[in-house]
Amino acid sequence: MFYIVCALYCEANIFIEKLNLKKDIHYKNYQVFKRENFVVIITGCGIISAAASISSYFSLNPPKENDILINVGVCGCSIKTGKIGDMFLCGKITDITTNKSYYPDILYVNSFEEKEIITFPTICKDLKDGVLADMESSGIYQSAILFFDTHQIIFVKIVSDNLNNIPVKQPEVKLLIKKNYDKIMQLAENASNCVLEIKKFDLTNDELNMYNLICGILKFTVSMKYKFKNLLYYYKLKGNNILTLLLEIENKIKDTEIKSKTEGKKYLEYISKKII
Amino acid sequence: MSIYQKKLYNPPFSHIYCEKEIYDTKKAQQIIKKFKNSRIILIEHYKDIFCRKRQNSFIQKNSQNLIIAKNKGCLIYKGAPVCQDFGNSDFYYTTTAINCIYDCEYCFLQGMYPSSNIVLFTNFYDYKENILKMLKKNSIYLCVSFDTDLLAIENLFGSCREWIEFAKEEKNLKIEIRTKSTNFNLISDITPCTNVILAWTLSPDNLRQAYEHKTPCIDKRIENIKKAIKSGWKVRICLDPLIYTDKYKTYYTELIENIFKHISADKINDISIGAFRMSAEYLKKIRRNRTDSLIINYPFETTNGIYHYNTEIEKELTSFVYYKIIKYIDKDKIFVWKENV
Ligand code: SF4
Repeated sequence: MFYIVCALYCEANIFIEKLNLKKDIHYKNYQVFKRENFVVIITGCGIISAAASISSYFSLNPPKENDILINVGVCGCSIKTGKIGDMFLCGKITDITTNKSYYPDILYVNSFEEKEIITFPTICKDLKDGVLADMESSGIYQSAILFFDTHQIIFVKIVSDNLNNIPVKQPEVKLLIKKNYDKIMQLAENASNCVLEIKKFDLTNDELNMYNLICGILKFTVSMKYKFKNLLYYYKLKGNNILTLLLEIENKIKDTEIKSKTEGKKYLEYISKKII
Repeated sequence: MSIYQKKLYNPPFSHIYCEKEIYDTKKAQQIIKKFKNSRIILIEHYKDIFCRKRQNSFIQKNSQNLIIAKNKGCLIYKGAPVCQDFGNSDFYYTTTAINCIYDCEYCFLQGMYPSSNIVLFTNFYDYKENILKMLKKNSIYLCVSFDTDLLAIENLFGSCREWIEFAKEEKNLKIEIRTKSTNFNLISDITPCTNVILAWTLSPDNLRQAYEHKTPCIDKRIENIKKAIKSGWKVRICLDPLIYTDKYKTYYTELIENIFKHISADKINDISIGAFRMSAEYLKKIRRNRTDSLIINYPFETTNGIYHYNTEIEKELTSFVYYKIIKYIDKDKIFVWKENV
């Protein structure tokens, strides 16, 4: 799943349109649009709104380990730092109120320039050169890290103002994001491909059912179950068919009545000798 | 890793995190200058980045970054019980760097640290000061390449050189620099010193290819050992961890024959052997991520919180290697982890 988090509708608009997302009316306090593998969450402005919406959504829909969350939003910066429409990736987020910094991993290949972003509780009018300013990033990070790993969270910011008090109009924001849409989606695709590559080797449901059945017949304790599973897992990793082995074991024990832990242990030793 | 996957990740050290306090120091700048295309991010404390919650050190290994810091914590540790002390009672270890550029499946560092980014501590003077204080009381045997492979990163850090130069001045300090690298050339200009032991870990090349990713091949390591011996250095060979496989007899026979074909036994300072073992806590953590690793998912036994091969296998494996080695080298020069032989 690919989650795009924006503070405002105008920031999310282009994703909703291009990805043909539909509004999910179950969410009242923030907006959610989704289709297939894409979800857009519109949190509202400010650190607390952003953090609360994310917490609420992911408590109800816990993400998986190969999901990616990308925060796309506008930001301000000095004229020396960037011009309107410039896009940056953020590897350092500092909360001005607490002076604490947060660092999402920047692992995936991208064509973005990088800058630190400082999150302010109110509109920022004065900012040193070289950094960006917004009102949500630190809230998004602090909340998202409760559900995602550091490599699953990406912050992309597009300059919408140079701190000159000229309010940016919503259609302009939409255009700024639209201009960078392809680059954002390319980064998202790279990130998704990386996390999708993480394949977990495991026992199949059939193998697990058979394993549970045998554990039951042989009255294995928790630690014996762990050892048995480890043996099966290793046997499978070596390229063997464990279902055949499990069937063989089941055949051997199906009429057995285990009366003590020692008897179960003997069977476990027998299985262990067969495997190692 | 496929070429495709490699291209999706940033190259190693694309980002360098440096503590603000030491950013302007000579040592930090020497390191930073080596990475012209990297992005520098200033941090308050190395743990702000190294100890973040919810990191996946296994994914980070695809694009390791560098953290430059000052170690304000404990600098010298008493030797761990799972480590060979080579008969030295005052056995300590230290770490001027954390983590490694290589990717051995069985490496305990994966279980020990929350991140696989490499930390370089630049305050060598503090390490020196600590050791000098300790040396006033007794002599010290110190492993300096413990939570890392220090010689593997010598070109960017230069810490082996610092340690050797320091050891030269302190005769009661004996140091071991353990490596799988082939970087002897980076220190070959230094005059050898009797209280420094260069230790190379060797495994059968089939096992290296299977489990010791990104490490140099065994023949090249043997070449390096030969050069070090020729230059007059004390060299230790570590056959540790010994890894049990169906073909271990063939593999270890070939390795031992290969070693002694190229290196004269009387020139080797000593050899250590020890079957694979690891703290249960670390191994369990590694298992969660290395789900397809044969060595990590081997059905080990546990004793006192340490995973190891069952006693029979451990004894068989260690004895096999031991008896192969004593054909070439004096028993007194062989150190076996645990009383297995
Ligand atoms: S060389 Fe040593 S420190 Fe480096 S990954 Fe391998 S076992 Fe770990």
